[in-house]
Amino acid sequence: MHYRKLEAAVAQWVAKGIISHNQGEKILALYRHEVPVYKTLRFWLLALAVAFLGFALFLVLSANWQKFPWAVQSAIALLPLVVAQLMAVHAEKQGLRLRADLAWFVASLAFGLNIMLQAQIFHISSYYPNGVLFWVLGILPVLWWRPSVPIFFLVAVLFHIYIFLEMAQSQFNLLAFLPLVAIARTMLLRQNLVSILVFCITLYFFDWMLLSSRGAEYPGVVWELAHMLVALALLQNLAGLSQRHFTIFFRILILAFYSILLFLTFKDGVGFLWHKGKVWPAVALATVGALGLWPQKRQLLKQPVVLIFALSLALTIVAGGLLALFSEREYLKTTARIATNAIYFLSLLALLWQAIVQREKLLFWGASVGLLLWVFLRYLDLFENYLTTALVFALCAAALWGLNRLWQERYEK
Amino acid sequence: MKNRLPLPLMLGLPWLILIGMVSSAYLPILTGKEYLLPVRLKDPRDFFRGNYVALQYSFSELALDSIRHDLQEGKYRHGDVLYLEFMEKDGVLHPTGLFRTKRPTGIWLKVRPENEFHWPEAKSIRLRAGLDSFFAPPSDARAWEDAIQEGRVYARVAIDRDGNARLLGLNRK
Repeated sequence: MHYRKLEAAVAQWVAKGIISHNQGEKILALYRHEVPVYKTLRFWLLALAVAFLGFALFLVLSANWQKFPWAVQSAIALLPLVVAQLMAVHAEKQGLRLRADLAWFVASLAFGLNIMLQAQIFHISSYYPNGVLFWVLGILPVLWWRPSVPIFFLVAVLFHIYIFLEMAQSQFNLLAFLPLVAIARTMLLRQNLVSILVFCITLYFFDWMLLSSRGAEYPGVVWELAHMLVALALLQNLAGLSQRHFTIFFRILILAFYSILLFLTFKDGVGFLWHKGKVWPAVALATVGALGLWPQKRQLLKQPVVLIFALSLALTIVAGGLLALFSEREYLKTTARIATNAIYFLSLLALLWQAIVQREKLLFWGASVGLLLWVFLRYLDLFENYLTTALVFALCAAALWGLNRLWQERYEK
Repeated sequence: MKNRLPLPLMLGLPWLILIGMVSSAYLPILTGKEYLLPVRLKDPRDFFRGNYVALQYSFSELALDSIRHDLQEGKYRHGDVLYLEFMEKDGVLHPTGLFRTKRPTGIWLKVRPENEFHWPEAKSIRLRAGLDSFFAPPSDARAWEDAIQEGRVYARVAIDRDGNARLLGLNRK
């Protein structure tokens, strides 16, 4: 609930005499404690100031103080950590959440500063990404028990830096599961658009890191599609997610999927569905996504648009799996191309129908533009030859005409 | 405080990690012996730790026919630990062998292949020992770059009995 809006509404009700002033105060008192500190502008200004300070400290460290002995360098760098931790404890004891969250954020940055200083002093090679992982691990208890937004972003950013460093070396550390679990937990607590997006992106790169650490090659776009199915399953299972955030996330997913699918309808594009690596990790992931969707089957039947999307996604993944399984058969590439075109056309047709049924203007225009784009691109990049393409277009026109007839018979008579 | 916070964990874990990191960094210096390794240099920047001189050693790219080794046919990836044996001559170390197991005697260093390496197709191997970055103020880093124009530069390293090493400094010779 948006407290400020409630406050304005209560003031109006009191002014119109709908409720008394005392009743208004009682209603506001019910929700006053639900305003998180991080939703205040003051908190964000201070968090920004702390981030600036953090960058300043890292630049001071980068100047290198090797003329001072180890103990002096360490003592100078430990000072902000000690002060920030003491401030955090003091603020917690006073019950000052805003100050405590900021102090934990400063302490987390100061801890990273110390990690990097010791790595600098001992010339620990920039080759090993453990320093960033240690930094993330050290601040995980803060994320776990005080999951403020700045800490969540700090952990997410650092964890991504670590993942990219590890991927460059084709390595994996078992401890890396801990930050992933902490990010997942924070996402489950918050259940908003940003935290879900951050988690899905993190999971995608984390899985990539696992894959590359086993020396596996990129399996193709089927890998991205499998992650989309997992993201959809997650979205369907989050009971606390608001309808608005669900819609935004779903639109991002659907837009990404149809852009990829359109690319796969090209002669050369379909080759990216399955590249050459092992396909089983993508299939296993897609199975996890499908199993995650299964308990929501009743809910899915009530959401035909989501159902159409899920089925199209699953069918494209199956096409990728079959392409990998029978890769030695040359004709299969043509079959896969026919399949991606059919999935694209038929699913957009189904979405168009749903848009008309539900009177969803945005969906209607989205599906129409998608179909027009497809017909234009196929006009340039033909199916086999002119006559085959002409025949396919004629069949598509017949399908649209049939849809129109069906609409007339069902709804307009 | 309204909720009971695990303050000892929230406060203590960063300190434990720092202590562990400093101890493991200091161990080869404390228990190891000092040697010199010839190096080549270049000067990049790390965004967390400032300027450093990226060091290339004679074993950074090692021709396999120039040393003894017991590599078996197959794939070696970064993360696989190999042991590089050295011979000491005039206080400077020179690589003599590369093995899959620890050596019973002599001076040897724990190294890892860089990226993927296929034996016997490949004739040389790129190795890393965690001694590749020497952090220095920007002006010093540039001075070390110049030093290579004047003569040979050696890395002063401490190597312990387990083959762990720590870079102590750079020497002009």
